[in-house]
Amino acid sequence: MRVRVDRERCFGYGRCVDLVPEVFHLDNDDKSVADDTADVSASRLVMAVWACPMQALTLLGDDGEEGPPDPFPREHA
Amino acid sequence: MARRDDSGPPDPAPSQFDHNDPEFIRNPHAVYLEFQKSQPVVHSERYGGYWLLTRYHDVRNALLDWQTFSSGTPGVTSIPSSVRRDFPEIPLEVDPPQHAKYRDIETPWFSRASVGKLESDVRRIANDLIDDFIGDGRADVVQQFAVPFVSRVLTVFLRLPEKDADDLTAWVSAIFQGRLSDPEGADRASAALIGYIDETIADRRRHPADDYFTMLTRATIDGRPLNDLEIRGYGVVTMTAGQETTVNGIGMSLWYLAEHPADKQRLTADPALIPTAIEEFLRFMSPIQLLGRSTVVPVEVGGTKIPAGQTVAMCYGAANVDDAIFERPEECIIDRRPNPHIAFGTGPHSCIGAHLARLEMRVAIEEVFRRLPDYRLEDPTMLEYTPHGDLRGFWALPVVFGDGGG
Repeated sequence: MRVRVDRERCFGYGRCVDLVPEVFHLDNDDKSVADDTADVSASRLVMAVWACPMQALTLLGDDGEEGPPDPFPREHA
Repeated sequence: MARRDDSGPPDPAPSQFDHNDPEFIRNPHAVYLEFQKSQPVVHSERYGGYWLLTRYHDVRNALLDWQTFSSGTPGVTSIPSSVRRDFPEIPLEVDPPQHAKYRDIETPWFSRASVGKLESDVRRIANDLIDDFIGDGRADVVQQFAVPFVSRVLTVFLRLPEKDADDLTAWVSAIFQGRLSDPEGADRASAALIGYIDETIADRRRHPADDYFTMLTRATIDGRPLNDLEIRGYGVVTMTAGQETTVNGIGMSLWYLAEHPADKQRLTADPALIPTAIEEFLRFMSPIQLLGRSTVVPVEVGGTKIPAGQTVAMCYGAANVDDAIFERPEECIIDRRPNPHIAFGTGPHSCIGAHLARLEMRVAIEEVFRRLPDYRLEDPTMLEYTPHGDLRGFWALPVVFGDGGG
């Protein structure tokens, strides 16, 4: 699973870096860059996509775009 | 004020909920957790009637669904609406797609890189203020430190004369503090702030400078320059939104650290952990507990139908203690990770000043630790909270340090 960063939307909040530092870092323009080679669980990537305040991240499946499923399946009793 | 009797439940009925109730302001988490369990979408009859969304998912979805939950009315974010304005704050009170065009104009000014250049100035301002009271052995770190600190940083950030900070402090304090108790005073202060902004715009049109307002006079939207009313709209929100909120963030953080010596010691020994702790302080003691939106069309949230034209509170403070998202939400865990709090909101209107707020909170904590390492509350039982619960914090936080002035 890969993630695409929309650099126009990214504001450098750094939530993705905080949540999944193995994959994301901010470059010299303070835009998020995703390292596709890092080996992390899909659920953590989903959380980063989901938590981005600017909705600048898109999950990419093998067949193209995928919407972010809910990364927090726990429900109230 | 909610009426109580000894036999009744400890909290007022949801229909009488009031976020300005002092009991709620003291302990909002207890109310939120109860609502989340029993009635996550609440309707209160107060303030002409308003709804509250308390679950993280509902708040987040509503913040993203701007077509249903609109920001496009002056005063909509404040419950009860305190302002009588006929112009929108920009970009706060503008809906997409126009919103993005307005926001993009000032995005570079608020960027991480732009804000990062201020750090030495921010640190200087913090130290100047501490110099003024360090010999006294005691200080009110809200009124003598956080309040003037935030105003002075704002002038540096916008490149306004730093001497104007005292006026800004007075106006913004009157606007927020007078909302409930002195609306006429709040109106006068608001008019004074607008006058200051209008004068600054007129001056910069004649004498361009390298500053925020000059940048706005040169900006274009839809192929035309911004007009004076639009620039005023930017000025009002830029000069108010980041003030009480950041003061509250600093005051709450300093209170928490004074009351939790082990955490304070840990951060003193490992300052690299301070940014992570700040995120937790923002989650646990969110400076903005709730912000309003207005429904454009009828909508159903969690099985509850909300008609069109209703005021709906996005309860950031409740979302940030939702146990569907956060383990042990009632505990402040300074190294909590992951921490997907929404203290700065999410979606189109995510706080544009977040980088500045984080810088101010970090420098404030670092410099208080460095200069007043043994600071402690003068009287932990006497806490003066804000009288309103949407923007929650302390209005005073007297501390002693060194030999306590004695």
